[in-house]
Amino acid sequence: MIDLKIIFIWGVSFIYMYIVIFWLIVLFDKGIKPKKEKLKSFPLVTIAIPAYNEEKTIEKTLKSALGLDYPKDKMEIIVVNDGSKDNTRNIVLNFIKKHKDYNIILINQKNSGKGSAMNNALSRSKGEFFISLDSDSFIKKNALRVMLPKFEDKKVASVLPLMKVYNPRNFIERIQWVEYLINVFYKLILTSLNCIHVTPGPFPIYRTEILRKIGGYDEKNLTEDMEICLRLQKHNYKIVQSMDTTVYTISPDTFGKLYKQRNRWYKGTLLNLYRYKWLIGNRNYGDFGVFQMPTVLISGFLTVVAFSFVFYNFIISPLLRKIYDLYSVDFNLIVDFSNVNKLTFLGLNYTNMFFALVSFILVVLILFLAYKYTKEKIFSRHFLAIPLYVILYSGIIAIMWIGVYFDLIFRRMQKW
Amino acid sequence: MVKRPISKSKFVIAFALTFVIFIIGILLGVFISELRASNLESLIEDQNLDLDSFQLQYSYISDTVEKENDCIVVYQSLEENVVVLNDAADKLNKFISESNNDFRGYASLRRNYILSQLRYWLLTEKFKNICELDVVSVLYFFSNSECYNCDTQGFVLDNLKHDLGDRFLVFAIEGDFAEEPMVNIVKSSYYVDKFPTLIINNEKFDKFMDRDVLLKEICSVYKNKPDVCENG
Repeated sequence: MIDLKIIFIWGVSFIYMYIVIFWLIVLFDKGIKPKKEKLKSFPLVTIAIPAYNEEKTIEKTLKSALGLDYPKDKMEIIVVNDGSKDNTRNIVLNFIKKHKDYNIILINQKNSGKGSAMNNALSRSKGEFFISLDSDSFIKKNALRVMLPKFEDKKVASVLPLMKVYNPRNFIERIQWVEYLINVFYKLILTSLNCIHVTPGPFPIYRTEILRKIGGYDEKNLTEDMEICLRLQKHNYKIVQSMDTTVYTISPDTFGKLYKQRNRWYKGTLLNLYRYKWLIGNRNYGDFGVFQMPTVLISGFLTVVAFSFVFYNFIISPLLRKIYDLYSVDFNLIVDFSNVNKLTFLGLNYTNMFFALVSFILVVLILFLAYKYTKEKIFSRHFLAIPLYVILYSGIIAIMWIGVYFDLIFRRMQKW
Repeated sequence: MVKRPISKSKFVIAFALTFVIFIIGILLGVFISELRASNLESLIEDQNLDLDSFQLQYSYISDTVEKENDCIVVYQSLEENVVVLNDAADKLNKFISESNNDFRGYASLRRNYILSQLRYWLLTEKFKNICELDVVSVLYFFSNSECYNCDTQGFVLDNLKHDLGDRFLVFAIEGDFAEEPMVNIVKSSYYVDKFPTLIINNEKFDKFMDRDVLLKEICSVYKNKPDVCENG
């Protein structure tokens, strides 16, 4: 009889391997290479910057918006001060005074969340394209020139830039650095299937007309960037990942901040999945319905279950057993050392080792491809982030998910 | 309503590739199980030869008048053989637990090892009488399933073996191996009905014993007590 533990390990490994192999097949299929198109005209664009207590970064964000290689008169910048309690408002006002040649508008509203701030900006927007730029993010100057041509396809509702962590210093930021590269690579693959399920805050460009047509942002949503993307998918629009420009975003630098951010993201993910549950497995929505939505649904759950299983069976349980064994012999370690001689190559579990090896090769391959497509060098100053990511990431994410499940069970919800 | 495409062929290819990887992994496991079985078979062949030799030595000693020197020599190699046998049994148990499945070859190997353990145990008991050996032999019944304390009991016995050396012999019997009638005979003669159970000097202890408790029981059997009995 094969025991349940083995069936579980093999089942989870099978699902993970299947998903990754599917991505690789999509990647190596024809047409994955993003085409480089040239911008033929300069439509008016609105850059909306929602800001809540962003005195440290707002000026740099505004500078990066002004630094865009795009005609000044074709840019409208709307900063929505979402009831900041710090000096954000004055910093923006001073910035406007210093840059009168640009069309920068400041809207002050009482604190009501990002969705509300974005809708406020959307209602004033005159641009053909509407861009959300988080006030802790900085965009490369070529962004509009390389992203706007993707809208030549009239079904394209949104285009995303390559998103990277700004100046990662400690290990929490460095792990996110790798995570973001993989996420962008993942979105590139999903682009060819039209399966992107989230248009993250830093600099997604939307077609304003479509954004208005579908009703703007959901103001009460924890992850309005996911909700709006699901709504675009619901209306069968295309969302495209561009690899030709980069937005740098400041990521949480402590475990506590990261936990807070991810708690909101993952909780928002689950709530949005529940809201759009009819999309899950819906064959009318093609790959998005039958593959992407179920994958998003199970990924968090599988991460928690797999991590808990591995953590308990390979760390906690053997450790407790060893402590109990040693306690039973008054902590006499002699036998333990002599037992080392009894290990043989034949005593190893080659089936599980083979699965672990294949999984490891797939992880390395995905990392290699992610670095390649995001134009980053593996052997850079962030190299150490890779082993940190491989070893710690699943555990960290699993802890975040466990927190989310607890919060949902005990109905602990936060505002945006 | 627009119906969006489903990448059926890609889903099927991904499934086929993943399935092939799993089949390779499982076949690798079966191949390794075959290697393990042949490795253990060769070990058991050596063990059986040694056992035949000891049985002959026992017959020889029981007929001789000057037993003392012969007893020492024979007992030393008997003790070494029991240690090797126990190591092989550990190996077998490790192989079984790492096999992911009940490999067909292991049942007969398990039976062979159990029989060897019982033969050595019987032989040791006879040697002890003939040669008047001041050694303690423990018959240890364990189970590979549903016995949380069996692994730890084995650990404690290994620990004591290390300290007591050649004056302490352990014969580990997989007590729930129903395919071997001899196991049931020995179990019923000592009324063994749970695991772990230890038989020390014909006395049954059917609960987990930590080092201190077990050492006390073992030391009470020795006529000439080893140092560890005095020092703990």
